[in-house]
Amino acid sequence: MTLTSIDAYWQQMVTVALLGTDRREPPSPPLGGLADLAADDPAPTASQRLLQQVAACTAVRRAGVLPGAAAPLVAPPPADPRPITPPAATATWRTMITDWPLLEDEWVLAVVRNGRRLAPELVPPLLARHRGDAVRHARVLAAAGPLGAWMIDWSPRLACSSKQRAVPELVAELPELPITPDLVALLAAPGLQVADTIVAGLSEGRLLTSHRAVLVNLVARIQPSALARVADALRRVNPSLSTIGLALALADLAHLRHHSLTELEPSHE
Amino acid sequence: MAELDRWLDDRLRTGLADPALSRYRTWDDLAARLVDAQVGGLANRVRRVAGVVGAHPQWHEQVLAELGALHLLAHGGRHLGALAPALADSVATTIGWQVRQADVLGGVPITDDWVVMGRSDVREDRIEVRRVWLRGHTTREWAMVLSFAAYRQSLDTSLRVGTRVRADVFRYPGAVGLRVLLGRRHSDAQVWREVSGSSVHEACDEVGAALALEPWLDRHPFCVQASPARLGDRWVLTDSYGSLPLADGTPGVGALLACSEGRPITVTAEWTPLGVVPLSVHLADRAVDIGPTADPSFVGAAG
Repeated sequence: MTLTSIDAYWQQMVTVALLGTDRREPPSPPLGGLADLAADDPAPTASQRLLQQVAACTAVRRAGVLPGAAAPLVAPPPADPRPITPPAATATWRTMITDWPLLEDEWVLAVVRNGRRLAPELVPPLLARHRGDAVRHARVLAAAGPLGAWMIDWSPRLACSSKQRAVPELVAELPELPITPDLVALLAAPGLQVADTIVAGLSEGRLLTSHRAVLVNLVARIQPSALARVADALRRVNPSLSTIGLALALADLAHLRHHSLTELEPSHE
Repeated sequence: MAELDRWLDDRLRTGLADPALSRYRTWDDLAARLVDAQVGGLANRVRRVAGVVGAHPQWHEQVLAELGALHLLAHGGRHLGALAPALADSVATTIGWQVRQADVLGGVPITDDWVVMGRSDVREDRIEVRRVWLRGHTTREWAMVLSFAAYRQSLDTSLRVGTRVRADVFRYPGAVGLRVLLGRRHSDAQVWREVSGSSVHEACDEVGAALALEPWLDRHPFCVQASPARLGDRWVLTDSYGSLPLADGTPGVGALLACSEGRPITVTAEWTPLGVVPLSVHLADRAVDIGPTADPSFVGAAG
């Protein structure tokens, strides 16, 4: 009994099983263990004979798992000398897209600006995530390097599906977020000033939960050097304030943004 | 058990092309009767097979093989006393005759540095099942830790791929006996990078040996040094001497290909009857978990 004869026998049994033993008799097993089983433990009906042989054949075929022919290796993508994003950054990205996805544009740009490339495992999910947005998809390709185009060659569903053309200037720039005129000055302010302004606004009731969207945009665009101080100040806001939830959410945003940018710096390994 | 065998017999008598087979009720009624008969393991298998009907062009072949596996279990379940003790234990636990955790924990533990090699989440009926595959650093034996989550419950996230923990494990009885309970942990989990993979041939030997003992196994882990490559219209894991096909539609193929960048890498994967499911890639500086992940809208805070 060879594996070839078992495979042929199996296919015959599949055909009979499709039609049913009411319409067609099961095939005879090839000489060897399967034939011995049929002789030693004869089943009274055609369907029982088939069931017995299907079970035995399944066991033999599974236990006899064999490798197929070796496949030619795929040609690797052109080399990319840039260091990859550190492993911790992969976890940070996953947190970011769940909790604060508005930070992702800056994060991808930071990868490129810090002379890094995306860790390979991030390339497929990032390409897939932004395939409908030409600018973001182009940004991911810049961060992915040659591996990005190589992945699209192998998996065309990762290609950009948008008909829009990615303007290079837009790809290289961080998109603006709406911020009210009274807060615009804080975009370039030092951390202490930003922290004092937001904390005072929350404490004095000038900044309310209804300002959440604009405050989120503000914290997402203030100077990176201001983030640690802002996060620290917001965590220490009086817990009895009605806006404590907003303060802690903004602290979390400031902390995540600070952390995500810091761990991409070339000196951070 | 006898009723299950009669039902299987009827399926082969009337044929797999019988329209009744495509009606979920045909299977669900049987599964419900198996649950009533306290053989939940068989009921789960029956429901899984129901999901295969019509799912792909070769579904008849897969369903037929699963009917064969069900017959083996039904036959074994009716003749437990005639089986070798380890095989009888395998049949009993697979059928769903519960082994009490206290009895498992009353056994002799295997103490080793257990490397967390891979993880896979699979929805089974209304429960998300997480399998975490461990491999003993000294014993080289595989062990599987299961956790379960119903809707909005959390899966166990304490075992992270790419870490190692010194712990006692207690095996469930069985010929292959992959399932374990984790006992005392003697150390905190530490990052562990020194993972080596076998050849594709050796992986086939390892999987085949386990399937010879328990032909109804629907998955078995292995760790190989291989590259993802195309063979015809399928992705495979290949080395210089052979290849193993990946399961169609497996979610980790993109990450596997990206991590390999066309070169050989160390991969932990599950053999399944439908093909290999890659679970993790062990790189020099990190382990990448690429196994199937629970739907976050179903489980709470799955790690």
